[in-house]
Amino acid sequence: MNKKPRKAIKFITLLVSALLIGTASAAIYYSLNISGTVTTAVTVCFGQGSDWPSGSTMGTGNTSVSLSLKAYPNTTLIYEQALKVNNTDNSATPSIKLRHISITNNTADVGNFTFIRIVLLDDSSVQKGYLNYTVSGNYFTLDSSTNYETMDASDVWSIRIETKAATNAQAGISINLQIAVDVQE
Amino acid sequence: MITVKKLRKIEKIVLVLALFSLFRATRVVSGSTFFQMSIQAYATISSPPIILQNGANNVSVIYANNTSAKISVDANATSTTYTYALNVKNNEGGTQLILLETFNYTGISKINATIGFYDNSTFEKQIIIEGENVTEVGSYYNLASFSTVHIRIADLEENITDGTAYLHTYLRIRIPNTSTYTLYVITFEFK
Repeated sequence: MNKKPRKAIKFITLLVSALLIGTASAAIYYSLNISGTVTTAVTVCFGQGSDWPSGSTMGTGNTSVSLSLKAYPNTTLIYEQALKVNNTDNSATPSIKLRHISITNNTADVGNFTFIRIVLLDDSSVQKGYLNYTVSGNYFTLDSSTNYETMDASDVWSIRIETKAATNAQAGISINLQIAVDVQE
Repeated sequence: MITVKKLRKIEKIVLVLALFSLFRATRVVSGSTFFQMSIQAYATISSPPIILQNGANNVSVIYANNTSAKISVDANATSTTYTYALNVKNNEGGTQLILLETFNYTGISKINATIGFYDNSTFEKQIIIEGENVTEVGSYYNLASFSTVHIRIADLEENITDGTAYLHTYLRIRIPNTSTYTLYVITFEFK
């Protein structure tokens, strides 16, 4: 048998292996190049608004909150400034947005409500996003505007909440809503 | 037949390809920090803190949940006062602030009247209708816990006979020292 083709095949196999290893190494190299700075302080946090609902609680670090809201039958209840959203940095300009996570749905309790609106307002009370939950049967349907909006340094924005229960709604019925305020610095 | 020369050429090509793939995979990654703040909200249906009731003049229709009403009164050339057109009752332990404000009207040019809150001694004017002019003149009225105030229509007269006029108002109810409020619709019908 001629030795040259065998040698050639061996050499090509070696080169292909080297190429594969090289590609894999390159992928690892790519990952290793990602670097960042980790800070423990948050730039944006919540604060109690002038309409802080009675019975609500602020979480540790002011980055989570549990709100206790009311809804009255056949009339709209408006918490003009339920929450403040504070940019605590006097130079950074973070971007924030509202994001839906979950809401009670597909139960007869939902039919006792008419709507729940969460509105993000800037320091001039200009609307910067909203989550509008309206009831159809036993379901909440969501209409929303949730783009990132940039806060100026030291800005104090607010969250307005509007609730309305259905005519002849049954007192004592509750629904649970979870939303997020995403912050990009 | 593959010669050593050809093999060296192939080796060079593969080397170039390997270097190319290596540099192509290299990225400069930059980004920003991201975090999420969470809001958990429990909305509970509650009885309204203030309810509307038909007054002693018996000219009101109260709608579901006692949170909206229509007051229907006769207007004619002779001045008439309805002192107890509608009752506004505070059902809670704390004081509530109330204010009457206009949001729409039709055919109002035939009417003259003064509308306000009456607590059996003082008349707190809220809205004055003079021909085509509807003016809000009131300030917040302190409705004490578990007390009732009456909506009074004073000096009502029709200056021309021209169908039915409507005045659509909100009873704004505000919790003291906050901006939390609710709006009850009260419609005045002048026949």
